[in-house]
Amino acid sequence: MSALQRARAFLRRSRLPTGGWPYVAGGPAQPEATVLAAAAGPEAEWLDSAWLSGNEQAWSTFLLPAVAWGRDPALCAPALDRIEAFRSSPVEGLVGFDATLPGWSWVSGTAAWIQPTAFAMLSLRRVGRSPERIEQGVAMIADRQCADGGWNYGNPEVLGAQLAAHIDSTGWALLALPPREELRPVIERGLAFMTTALTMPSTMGLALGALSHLAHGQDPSPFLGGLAERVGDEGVRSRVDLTALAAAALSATEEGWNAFL
Amino acid sequence: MPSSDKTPFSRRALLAGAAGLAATSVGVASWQQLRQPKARVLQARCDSYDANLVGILLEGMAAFPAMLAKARGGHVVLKPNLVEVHPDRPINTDPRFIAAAAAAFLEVGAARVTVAEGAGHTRDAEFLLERTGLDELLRPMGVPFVDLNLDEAVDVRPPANLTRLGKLPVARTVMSADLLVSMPKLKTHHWAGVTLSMKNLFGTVPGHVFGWPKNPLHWAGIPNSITDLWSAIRPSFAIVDGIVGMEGDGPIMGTAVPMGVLLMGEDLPALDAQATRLMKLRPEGVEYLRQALELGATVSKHRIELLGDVITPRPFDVIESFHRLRA
Repeated sequence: MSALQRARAFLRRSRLPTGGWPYVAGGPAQPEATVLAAAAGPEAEWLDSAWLSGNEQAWSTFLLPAVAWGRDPALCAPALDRIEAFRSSPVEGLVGFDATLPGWSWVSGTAAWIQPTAFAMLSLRRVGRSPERIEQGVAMIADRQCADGGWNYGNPEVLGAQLAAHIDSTGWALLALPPREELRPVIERGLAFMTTALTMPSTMGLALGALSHLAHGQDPSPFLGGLAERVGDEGVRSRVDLTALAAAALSATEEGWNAFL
Repeated sequence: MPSSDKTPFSRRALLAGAAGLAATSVGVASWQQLRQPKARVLQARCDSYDANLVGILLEGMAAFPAMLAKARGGHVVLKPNLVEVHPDRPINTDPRFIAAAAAAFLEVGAARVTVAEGAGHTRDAEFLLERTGLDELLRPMGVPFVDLNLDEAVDVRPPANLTRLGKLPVARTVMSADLLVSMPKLKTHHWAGVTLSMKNLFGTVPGHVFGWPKNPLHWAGIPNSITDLWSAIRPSFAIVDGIVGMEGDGPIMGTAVPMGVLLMGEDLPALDAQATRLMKLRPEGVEYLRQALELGATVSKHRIELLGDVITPRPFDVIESFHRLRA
């Protein structure tokens, strides 16, 4: 059985009888885990529309249209409306970056952060809506790049000290940025940072490393061997979110179906 | 009438008044101290993570029989402080310290020990576990790690509601423990002044509800959030890893301080107050400890009985905005 097959077998088993997927097998269903499960394959079985339509959570369903638009546009409509209506709260007086640039937040009434912004941008790009909001997101993400080339959760520095990037924020930021010529320096520095996942691996790092390289026309193969090894019979550590991300990366490279493009 | 006669108080009366005010002030201070419940904090000297940590912990824990009664036959949840991985900086509660605590609680008869954390800065808990070496230490012991960021959320209602959020989401694993043990690192903090057993409770809030970092807690005020979380969760015990602490721009970018101590106690504000004093900082100046004091906690050194070894305080550097904490 291939790693992709093992991943999907685990995901099938861990789906809850009452609908949706948990973060960890046996736990309660969660919106983000259920949205990510939809990235595991193109078939209808991976998209639990019934559960998702009754369990909306703002930040994690920002990603829903990106992975589900082709299968269930009606399900995506409320999430798209929420994405377009959402306004992060600006923060004045911070130095080293522009915290007034609008993006998307984890929780309404707070500042913009990289991952929810990337989720929303991926969805808007997929559906082709609100190009001005996409450009705002591009500006915000480009502004927040850390000195090491990757992205921290939101800010590149705090109180004058530079922060180190994180592999997951960097991966999502790269997936969200359109592959445009004027963004190439930003993207290339980010892709170079993603290669740290090869020496300090994790499932998130390897899966997002492969997906971000694919998104920008680069070879994802260095990430795939280590990624496949991490998928056992119980998925990755019985974690649905990690296993679904691994499946998304393996599907994109082995089957040519990419949930995020 | 001479102008001096217009003065409502003579010099003598002013002096008498000042003396009276001073006496009242001393009286208020004494009353404030007396109303603080007595607390006990144990300090143990320990210069290395390669020392017999299990033995030192067991010896110290024996001074807290009520805590041990909760641990025996129960589910003990150890909540360390795991933030980010930078091998050259002592950011996290040391994995050897965590594993030793797990072994000690199993030794005293805990039915089950779980290590649980919801890191504020790192979604990738798998990376954190593997790169810190904690995974390698816990697996052979059969001690599971629970990522609290992904745990089911239970709403708690802090009695004082300083955050004005009304309710706060806390991980079910934390709320269902028979004994919750906060295990922070001895560190200074660029927003809170110090980060110890009470600030460590930020990691009990699931990230899937509040995000990474847990930004609504920042918007509601960090001291407010610390105090609310402590008053709603009320952990029964805490053990501070001060074998190597961090000074300066903590919690991430500070500098290592070999302090050679571990502290433990059942009263978290008292424990944090004593740990702050060991850093030669004034706990009375730490906003969240002042708030806890208002809620009836113990901070005064006169109400804290120190057990174990005598430890000489060492000044920890703090960033400029917290110079006022210097003792």
